This record gives sequence, C-alpha cells and structure tokens, in this order.
Amino acid sequence: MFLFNKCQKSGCQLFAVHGEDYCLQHVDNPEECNRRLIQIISETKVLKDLNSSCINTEGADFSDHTFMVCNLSEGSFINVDFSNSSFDLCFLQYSTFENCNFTQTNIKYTVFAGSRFINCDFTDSDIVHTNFLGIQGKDCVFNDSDLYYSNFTSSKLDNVSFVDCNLKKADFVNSSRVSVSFKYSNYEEARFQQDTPI
Amino acid sequence: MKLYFHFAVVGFANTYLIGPPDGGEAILVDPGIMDKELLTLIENNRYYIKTILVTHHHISHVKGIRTLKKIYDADIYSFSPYILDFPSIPIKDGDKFNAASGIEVEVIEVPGHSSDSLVYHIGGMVFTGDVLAAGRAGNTKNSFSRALLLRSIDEKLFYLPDTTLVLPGHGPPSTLKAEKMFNPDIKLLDTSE
Repeated sequence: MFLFNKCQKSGCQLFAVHGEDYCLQHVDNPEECNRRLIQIISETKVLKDLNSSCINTEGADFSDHTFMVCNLSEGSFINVDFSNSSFDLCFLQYSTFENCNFTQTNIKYTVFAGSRFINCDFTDSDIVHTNFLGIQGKDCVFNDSDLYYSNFTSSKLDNVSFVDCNLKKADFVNSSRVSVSFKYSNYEEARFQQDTPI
Repeated sequence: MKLYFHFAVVGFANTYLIGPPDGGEAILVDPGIMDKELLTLIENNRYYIKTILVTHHHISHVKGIRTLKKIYDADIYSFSPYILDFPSIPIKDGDKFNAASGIEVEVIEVPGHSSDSLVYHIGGMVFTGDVLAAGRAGNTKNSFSRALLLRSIDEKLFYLPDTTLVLPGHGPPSTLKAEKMFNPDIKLLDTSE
C-alpha cells in the first residue's frame, strides 16, 4: 500500500511527510515536525503509508513495530532499537544507521540502497527480497538470517558476518568484502560474478 | 493511489496491484500466477481487476491471465495484439491512456531483453518487468541486444526523476537514483561512451 503525495514546494520531488503538505525540508518548523514524527512512530505499533523521510533520531525504541509501505529514507538513526519489528515494502535508502538493533526482524521487499550501517545487528532475521545496493556496512552481523533474493550489489562490507545464513539468490556482485564471513552459509547459491544468471 | 505487491513462487516473479485507496477498479501488472493469496489481496481490498498490464510475453509474467480472465472482465494491454491467445490492446512507445479508475499510464518501449518489452510509468513509479532490476539490467541473447537495452535504459528511463521507484519483475524494488549510482551494468554503459 502506498499513498503518493508529493511535496507542494515547486520543483521538489520528495514526498510530503505525514500530516503535512510539504517534505521535512520544506515544512515551516522542521525540528518540531521531526519530533512529532518520532513520537508518532514510537506510539504507533502498526504504521501504514507513513512518510517520515529525512528524520533524525537517537535512542528511540521502535521495537515490535510493523512498518507497511513506509518511507524513512535519508534519515539518521543512532542507537535505535528495531528488534522484533517488521518492514514490508518500505523505503529506507540513503540513511545512516549506527548501533542499531535489527535482531529478529522480518524485512521484505524493502530498500536500504546507499545507506550506511555501523555496528548494526541483524541476527536471526528474515530479510528477503531486500535491496542493499551500494551500502557501506562496518562491524555488522547478519548471522542466522534468511537473505533470500536480497541484493548487496556494489556494497562495501568491512567486518560483516553472514554465518549460517540462507543466501539463495542473494547478490554480492561488484561488492568489496573485507573480513566478511560466510561460514556455514550456502554461498554457492549466491551470485558473486556479474555474468552469472540468477 | 495504493500499491500492493505479490510474489509468485512459480517463476519467482513479482506481480503488482494498483488501485484507489478505498477499493474499486484496479490494475494488475504482470500476473505471473493467479493463486489464493493474490485473489485474497484483491478481494480483501475491495478491488475489481479492470486492467492487466503486461511488460512482456514471457510465461512467468503472464501465466495468471488464464485464471484471471475467468474471474474478471479485464482489458489486457501489451505490445502484442495477443497474449496467451487472449486479445490484447496493442500499445507502443509514448502512448498514454487512462487505465482502471482513471489512473494514467505512460508506455515506454525498452527493447533488448525481449522485442516486446515495455515499461509502465505510473505516478512516481516505473514497472520495469525484466528490463531493469535492482543492481542489474535484464538478460539478453547477444551483445547487440545488450547494447540496445543499455542505451534504451539510459535514454528512456534515466531522464525520469531520481526519486522514481523501480518496481521490477524479479527481485527487490529500487529507485532510479540507486540504479544510476550502484548498478554495475549501468556503469558499463558509462565507460563504453
């Protein structure tokens, strides 16, 4: 599901944030709007069609939430707890995630392209059909996760662990991998070379 | 306008349902399979399928039409005048028409993966079929088709805004900005010019 409302500012291609006619960059009071959006997310366990692009948050508890077709792109998330949450057809591209807890999450058909992950934990998660194109991942853990059809093309991974993961149809083409472990994972079923058909 | 997604386990293909927020006549893009889950998705949201958009004729994108046509009196739109022996409304590059519930659809012809490949531009989204997926351009049979496909993507899709959502026939969604920045096939195009 997705309600498409563009920002009313002439020439702006971003979507209007929840409850406003403008994107977070063009509302009258961006700080107040940012605070209101974080409060809405914190207090609402099931979120549908929410656009909160460009939000900044630190230390928030977004655990046990359901995000359905939400736009949280170009945001900054520091020490945020997303554990036990689910993301369905969500957009979180070009965001920064530092020290975030994604353990036991259920993520599908979601876009994280161009995002930066530092010290994030995705252990024991289902992360299927998810777009990690061009991400920068440092000190991250994906252990015991299902990464079916997820795409890490052109990503830069440093000290990232994929131990005992399902990598069927996962894509690592053109990725840079330093200290990356695929121990006990079916990396044979993943794609690492550009000319290998899926 | 609302968008719903369905994964067809046969052919590992994506089907998209687009309709008004409160139900009514809706669009299906590439019904690769018509199963109980897709029927539930349509009916629980009070939709009636009035338009079927076909990106290309490959079976993993059209197989569900046989069952769909038994349930819904839907118009099929494709490059070819027939899809699985069902008459289809032939469309071509640059065509614009109002589909179910008046939703405006723009047709973009992007040959290369197959001779009948179409991309549908609806709102801020492009439904790319097998032309462009996250991190890769579509498969082609030879180097000529490859060059044609990459050039067509560059000329016909990349003029759209970077925020345009890419909803492919296989794999996860993406955005045009992400494809321009991180798709290695597209980078090949940059270096060849």
